[in-house]
Amino acid sequence: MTTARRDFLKHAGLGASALVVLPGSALAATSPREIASTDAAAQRALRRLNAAEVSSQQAITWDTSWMQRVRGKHRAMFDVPLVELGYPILRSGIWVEQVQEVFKVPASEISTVIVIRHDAIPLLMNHEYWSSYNAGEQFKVKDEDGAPLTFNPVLTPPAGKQGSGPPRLALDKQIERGAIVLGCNLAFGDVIEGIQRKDKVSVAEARTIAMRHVVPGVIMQPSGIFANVAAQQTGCLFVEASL
Amino acid sequence: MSTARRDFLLRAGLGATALAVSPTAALADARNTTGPSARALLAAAHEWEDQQQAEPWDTTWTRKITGKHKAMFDIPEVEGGVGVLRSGIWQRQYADVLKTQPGELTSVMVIRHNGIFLAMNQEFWTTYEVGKAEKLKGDDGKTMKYNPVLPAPGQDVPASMRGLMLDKQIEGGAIALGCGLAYRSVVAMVQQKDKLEPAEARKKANSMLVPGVIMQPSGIFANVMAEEAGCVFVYAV
Repeated sequence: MTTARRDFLKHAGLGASALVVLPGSALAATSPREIASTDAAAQRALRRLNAAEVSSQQAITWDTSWMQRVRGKHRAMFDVPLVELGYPILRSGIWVEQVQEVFKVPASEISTVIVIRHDAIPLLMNHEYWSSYNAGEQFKVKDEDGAPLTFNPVLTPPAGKQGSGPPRLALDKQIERGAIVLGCNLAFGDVIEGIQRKDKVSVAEARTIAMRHVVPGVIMQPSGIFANVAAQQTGCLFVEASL
Repeated sequence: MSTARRDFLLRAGLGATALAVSPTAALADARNTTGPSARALLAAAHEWEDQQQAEPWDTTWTRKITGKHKAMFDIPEVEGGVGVLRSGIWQRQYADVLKTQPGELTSVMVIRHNGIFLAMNQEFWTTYEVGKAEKLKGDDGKTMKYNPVLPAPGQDVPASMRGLMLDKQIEGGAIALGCGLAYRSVVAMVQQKDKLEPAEARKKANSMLVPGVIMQPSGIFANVMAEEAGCVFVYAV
């Protein structure tokens, strides 16, 4: 089983199922949860853990009111599955500026929806999370010198640091100007798992901690794909922003 | 010419000589040359022509795209089958969150490019050693033996997972389309291993397609048609 598939299934609440289907991969897994899957008792624990995850997901009331904020003549959804130093986020801000400049339209005529999902998930976390939980190391996001990043490159940078782009295009600044930013709850499992591992807390506690570190204004959705489809149903055009 | 470009052109029936002009021209050109590459080209060109003559493309699936919620999942890579699973999860989440009713939702999966092997059954995967040929490895570093979006022999699949698999999604009404260009790699695999004529190899490959998968002239053809039928685009990685 590929890493992508394993991570995906795990965060879809299907981790245990996948391990049952492909037990060989469980033996080779590296996270504490998966290492635990090497015997029957651990398999049960794993199932409970995943059941808890599923339950916690089901208890969430998902906010889809953002769909009513998508308006104007120009609507685009930027699909961001990869970090790529945050450039996919900048593309959204650049597009808004270019539409205003070229078509001479006010901001009210433009809606941009940014869907942060898959491997890009740490981009929706604040600087404190990045420094406290070694996000650069966990998600293999490095600076130009090859060192793991200690801050979120798409936010207004900490004093003395340089972000990925001009400060006006930072994610927090785009949200302030009305950009709709959506997060994938399945991929968010990576963040939760990292916190759980470091703080040695339950999944639910880790989730609560993780939510405190989400950039204000980001709206979590059941999955990035859910958000992708919903955004397009409101009239947004699809933009593959990571390429 | 890059390998990717060469492979693509070859699959498109536009092999070597640039593939420049047309399959017929390529065929004529190949007849005048010798050696393994010329034979491969000749076979490809023949196969292209056979296919064009023998295979009426089924586009009736567009009429099955109904309901308020329509999405097309573009699946260009195997990637452990994640693209196919995403289609199933999307259907579940829309039902859970938006309370959609059966019939209000259509999922179209376009299995194309390197992902084409997901459209083949387990017999194909084991007989032609897809994992080995395509260098598909699991986390344990071992070569993948089975199609990850179908039940593997001798392994129980839990109900929560079973519904996400390709065959079950098709049973449930999802539309699965295959790329006719990428499928040429599948046919070539059969042809090479079994030493068959192109038409025979295609027939044999067809017998190992997952039931319900509808082959299209290309994945991009299917992509565009699905969007024209009202589907939104999902890059299913």
